Amino acid sequence: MIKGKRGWIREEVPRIILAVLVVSIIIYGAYLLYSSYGNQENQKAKTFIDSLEGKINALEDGESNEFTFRTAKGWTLTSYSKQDAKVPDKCFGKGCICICNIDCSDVKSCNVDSVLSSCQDTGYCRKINVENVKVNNIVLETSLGGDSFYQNYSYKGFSVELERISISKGDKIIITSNDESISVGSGAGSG
Amino acid sequence: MENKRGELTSQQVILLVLVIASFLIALFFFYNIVSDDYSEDELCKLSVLGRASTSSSIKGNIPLKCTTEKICLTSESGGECEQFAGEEKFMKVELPKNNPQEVADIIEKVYAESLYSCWKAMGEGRLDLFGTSEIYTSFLPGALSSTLDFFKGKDVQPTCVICNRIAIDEDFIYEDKKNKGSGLKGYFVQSSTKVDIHDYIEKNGPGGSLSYLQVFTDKQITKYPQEFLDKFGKENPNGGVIDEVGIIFIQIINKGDPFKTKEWGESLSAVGANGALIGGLIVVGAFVVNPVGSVIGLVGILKTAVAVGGTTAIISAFKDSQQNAISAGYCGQLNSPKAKQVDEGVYGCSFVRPFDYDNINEINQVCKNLEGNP
Repeated sequence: MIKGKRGWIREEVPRIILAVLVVSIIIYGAYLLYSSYGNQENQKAKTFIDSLEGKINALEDGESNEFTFRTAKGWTLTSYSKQDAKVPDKCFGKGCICICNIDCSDVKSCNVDSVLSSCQDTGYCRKINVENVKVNNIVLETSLGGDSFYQNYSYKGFSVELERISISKGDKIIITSNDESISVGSGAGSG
Repeated sequence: MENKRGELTSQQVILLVLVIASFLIALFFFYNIVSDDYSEDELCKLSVLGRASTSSSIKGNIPLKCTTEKICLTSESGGECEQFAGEEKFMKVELPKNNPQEVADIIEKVYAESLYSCWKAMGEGRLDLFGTSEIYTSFLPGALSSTLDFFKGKDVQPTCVICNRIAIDEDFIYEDKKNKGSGLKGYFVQSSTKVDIHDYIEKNGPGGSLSYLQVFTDKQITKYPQEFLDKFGKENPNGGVIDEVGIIFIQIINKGDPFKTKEWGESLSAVGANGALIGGLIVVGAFVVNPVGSVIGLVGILKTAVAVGGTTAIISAFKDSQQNAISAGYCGQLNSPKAKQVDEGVYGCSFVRPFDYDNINEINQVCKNLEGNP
């Protein structure tokens, strides 16, 4: 009986080791593929915010220009000024631009708090050498009554691959983008 | 030795080891290519080949390591292209200061080389690079005769790669770049009117004996057909100045064998193509010069070759701005791991086309997804 057990161990252990090895490799491969997808998204966001920071720095004081940017679809651009009451920790003490992993392409689906929370957790932020930085996302809203008015949001969710964004640099930096027009039920919350 | 039930045979073990080894090699290939060892161009080509040889379901996870090449055309040695402000790694091409013809020659050369290098890097449009897992793939033979509007709303996602961005220094274009209304510089106007990309593509090549026109049309066309020359002049009908152009590779995929359908046969006869491929195309505006020299409508090609939604955006993009912009294209079966099984081959159309890079609506309309690095 003991001899039988030894024989079983001699036969089965290599197979078990092989099976564990194969399963581990497959799980590792799947993990790599999954993380690769996530990395691509994060890399896009980082590249975007670096590019925006680069263009802000390249502009001279008093200068403004409009640029085409490769965006990060499903992410949101926002900004924080030094005097803002609520800012992500990584923006403390200076003006700051952030791209955060929250989809605000429908402006109504977000608010400043949800964007801040996302920026705190998953955002890529860059401090700017100006105290006041402002993202203006200008949206033409039409109420049920037919009245149209422009609403200004302090965050811009990206739903397309390319965006035209204008940057104005002076005492403060204003980053402006025009969103699609939307229809709203009544009134509108501002970002 | 007697093979007990459930025991691995030596053949199975060897097979298993080979599978694991190839899996590890593939992982190494995709994730551990050290950038320093390869040029950006080589990295791009390697990743394109990697994509093309990978199953559709995981193509999206294999990073396409193609970085947009940025070219700044400037007339001064210290000149900068504002379009690339704050961006790293762009190439400067100096334009001569008092020779409009030479300026035109350089612009034509940069443009043609960019189109060609993009086309080559992307496997000449013949590789299935983006897969079909996320797009609507059912082939609709019965709907081929319907208008393209019929297909609107189907979940087809043409995918693009921005191979090059070619910008012209605003100092070269405007009298005063801070006040663009001040007018264009006379030297720029003189130079730009001499630019004739069509002619350059017909008379020059990437090296060797073939012209760009021949390379793009499977060596079939050496001269533009008269019908083409009659249709397209040298003037840009929309006027205006485009200070930055994006050379963009577009691929739209269809599944199934369209050549088995009666409509395809008729369409192929109509465009003068025989065999299993339409092959390499030259597209100008919304017209196509096919490998046998016929000038045909792009609508007809796309309608038959792709036959699913998403084509409307491409057609309108080709028809709208820059009607004289010249592009290379390919429609037919794409090389894919599935292509060996005839019934499951992947079919589609690929184009490499210049876009006004500031006209984002047009690009966004066509490119629902953009891949590669900015």
